[in-house]
Amino acid sequence: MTSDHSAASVMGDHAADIDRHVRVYVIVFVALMALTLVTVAVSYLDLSTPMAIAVALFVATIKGSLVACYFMHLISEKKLIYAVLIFLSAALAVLFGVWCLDHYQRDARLASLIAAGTSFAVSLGLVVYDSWFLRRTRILR
Amino acid sequence: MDIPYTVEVRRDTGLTNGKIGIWLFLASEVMLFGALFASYILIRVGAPNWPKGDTILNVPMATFNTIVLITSSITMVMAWASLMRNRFGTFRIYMGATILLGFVFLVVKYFEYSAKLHHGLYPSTNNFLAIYFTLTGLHMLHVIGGMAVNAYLWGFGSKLWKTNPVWFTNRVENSGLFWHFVDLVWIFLFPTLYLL
Repeated sequence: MTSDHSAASVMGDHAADIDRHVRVYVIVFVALMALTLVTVAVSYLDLSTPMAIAVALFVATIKGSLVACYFMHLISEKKLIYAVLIFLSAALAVLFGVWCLDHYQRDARLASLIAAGTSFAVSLGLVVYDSWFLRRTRILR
Repeated sequence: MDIPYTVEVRRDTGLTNGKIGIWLFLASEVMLFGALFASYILIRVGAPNWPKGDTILNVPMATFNTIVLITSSITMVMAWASLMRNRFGTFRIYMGATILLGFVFLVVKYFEYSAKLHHGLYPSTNNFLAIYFTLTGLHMLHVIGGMAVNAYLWGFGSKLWKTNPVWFTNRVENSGLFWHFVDLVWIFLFPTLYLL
């Protein structure tokens, strides 16, 4: 059996690696704290609603990415997990598209229809990308 | 019969089965929260007017809870790192801190909810409060679930460390993935409900 023991090999051989990881965790933690304060501070600035939403979601996306990439190790995860997450994004896009279509049936606004169409197109694109991604991923034979 | 691929990775997936399992589960969780977030967006866009969160909700309490959850995320990852360094005692301390911080989150949440109910603000009062209680309530259930698993790994479950340390470390990592996901959901809930 040639399988490598992911945890075991790190345990024995790469103690220095873990020290490096821990330093990254602390930096990420400080960044998350700072960004939390930024989010709250910005909310007192009296920005216009669209601007406030844009800033809040932008900061939240950075924070979420930091958690996912470093605490959840997504930055160095195996390809299959990425494939699952790409498919998940496609499913979310379909979900949102169906909702927009439902909205269009009630309000008959062109914006709802365009949003639905865009969501379905994005979803299709993601499915195509995922299948291409899986095909060029050697480990999944 | 033993569960296959708990310790060694499968050659075709490059992962342990537990890791794939928890990520598939998290994917279904994203769909669950995604559906509720999408409902929130569509209800809010369709409403003639919408209250700004901080006029109804308690921002200092929520900010405190954000800090608590982020801190619990780093103690969780440090608990796993302690096992990777073969330090079981340190793991116990960090894991205990994670559970305790989850408890602090719940206590603050209790005061927040009881203040709302005391002022006659119920889920049935308006759409904003309905969404607030649904999203934060579901999130709170996830915090309780994560705490239960972490408490098991801190207590009875830690016996596995003596017989199969790698398997135990993987379990802590997977439990951590769920805990970080709960933190991640809160990172989006906090600004969208309380600040906008």
